Amino acid sequence: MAKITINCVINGKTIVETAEDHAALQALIEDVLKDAKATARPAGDWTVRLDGAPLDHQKGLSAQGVAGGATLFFSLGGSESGAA
Amino acid sequence: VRPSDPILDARVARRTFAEAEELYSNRATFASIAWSIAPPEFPELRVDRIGPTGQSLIGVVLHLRNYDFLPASVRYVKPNGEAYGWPELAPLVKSFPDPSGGLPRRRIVEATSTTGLPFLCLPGTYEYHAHIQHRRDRWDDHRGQISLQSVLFNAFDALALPGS
Repeated sequence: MAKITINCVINGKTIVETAEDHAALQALIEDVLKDAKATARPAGDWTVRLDGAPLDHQKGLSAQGVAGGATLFFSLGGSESGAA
Repeated sequence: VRPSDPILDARVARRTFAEAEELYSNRATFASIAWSIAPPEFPELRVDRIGPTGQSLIGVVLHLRNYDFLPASVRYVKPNGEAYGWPELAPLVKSFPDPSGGLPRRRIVEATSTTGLPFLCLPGTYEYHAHIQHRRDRWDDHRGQISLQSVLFNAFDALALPGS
């Protein structure tokens, strides 16, 4: 296991977090939400992307290609559909 | 009420417009996901999705005159700034599987009654919360949670862009 530094972009700001490279994304999300003071909605409501592709919250960071220096983008609220 | 009606005191609206300016100040980071953020001019922020050859594929304009007393109003625009009508936008609109097995669903609806333009029908947008069908899903319950960054991701996610 190695520590990596990840740039997390949430609500327009970049927060730099340190995490174990094999840790589940979920743990990183919870840290980011705390640091961003964005805890009103649970971690499971957030979409986190690397290079535009959504990541699995339960899988490890390195297993999903998240390496040191990576930039992850956070977003919320895209799960409801409009019209059939 | 239209999204451009001056409901919120302009001084307050300009203060909350700082969220748009913060996105712009972080534009180099967003360039890595092919977003081009134009210098914000109150009350609007424009973000373009850039294609592989560097041209704009489509733009999204957030109208923020009353933000965040009211949510952002979203419109899709061509590279020249003209708003998309439904016939032109429809081929770019993505369909999503219905989890209950019904017909695929779109997140962009043909026309809002206030402008006649297609609109993003998701929480966090003026057009969604002003729609009679969603009146019970109040913006008050989302304010401070769904940021402009999230609205922009949702706006681009609703599209299937060629060459993106």
